[in-house]
Amino acid sequence: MKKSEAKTLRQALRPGDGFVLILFLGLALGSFWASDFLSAKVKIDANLTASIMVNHHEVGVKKLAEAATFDIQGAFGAMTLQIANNGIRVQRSSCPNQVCVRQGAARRPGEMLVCVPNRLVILIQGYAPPLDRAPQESRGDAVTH
Amino acid sequence: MRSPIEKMTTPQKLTRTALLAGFGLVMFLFESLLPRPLPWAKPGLANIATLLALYWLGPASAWAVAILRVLLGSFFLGSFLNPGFWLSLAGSVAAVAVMTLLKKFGAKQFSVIGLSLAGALAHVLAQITVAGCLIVKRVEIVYLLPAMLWPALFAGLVVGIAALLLLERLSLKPD
Repeated sequence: MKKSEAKTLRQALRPGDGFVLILFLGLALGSFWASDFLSAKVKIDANLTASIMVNHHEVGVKKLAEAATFDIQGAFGAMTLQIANNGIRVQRSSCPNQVCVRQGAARRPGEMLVCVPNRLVILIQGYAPPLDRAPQESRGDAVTH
Repeated sequence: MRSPIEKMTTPQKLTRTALLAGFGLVMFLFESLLPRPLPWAKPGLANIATLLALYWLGPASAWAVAILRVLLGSFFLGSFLNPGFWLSLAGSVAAVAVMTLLKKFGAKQFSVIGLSLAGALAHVLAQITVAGCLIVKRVEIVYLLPAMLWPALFAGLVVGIAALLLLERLSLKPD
């Protein structure tokens, strides 16, 4: 941009422009906050399940709402999984690098925990119910995998 | 004997409106050829034509330029009466309505850039409302808001600056 153009720009600006800009920024930031707030509500959905797969075979489906600690046998060795606070995490693993343990908990539909040495994949399944309706009324197009 | 359209406008104004409608249409079609990394967001360069019409020729021309652009653009892209067409129409109508109102009641308080930003904001809000009411019918559509508002903010700024510099360079003053 040339100097004269920058000057044109500066001279043209009015106080209302700043107001619109601030309103715009506020809405953009506020919508971030609002969508975080809404997805926090989706998190505590009693219908979410964790599908536990070893070597592409499902070895178990657990409800995220029911706290539990249990052992499974991975391709590399034993693992301990823990379900608590509507999330599932790998508590202990026999694998060398412990990436799966450090991943922390998965709790949203579509989230995944993976342990490559153990050939383990945990996938969170279920639907996020619409906020204004009961879960059983929700239609097929709401299912997220 | 003057035709009804001649009673509303002069041939000069009509020609200029048509010119800007054509410019808007070209920008719209050009934009549709660009790759879109975010499929729900595009720059809205056609709004430059609407802003030029508003400042150069007045609100009636701005309305004509915007609506003609949406209609003709949908004919060219084959999206006439598609869901996308209604979204486009709703966004454009809301944007022009907000911009003409701001221009009418706040010409001293707002520059072209402010109007462009307000138009972009109205465009996004109208689209998301229409999409929420007619197509998605879910509250979760508000998740899309941040993803739509941020690109719209930058698009509004760019369009506003472009319109401002064009008005200056081409000395487009109302007669």
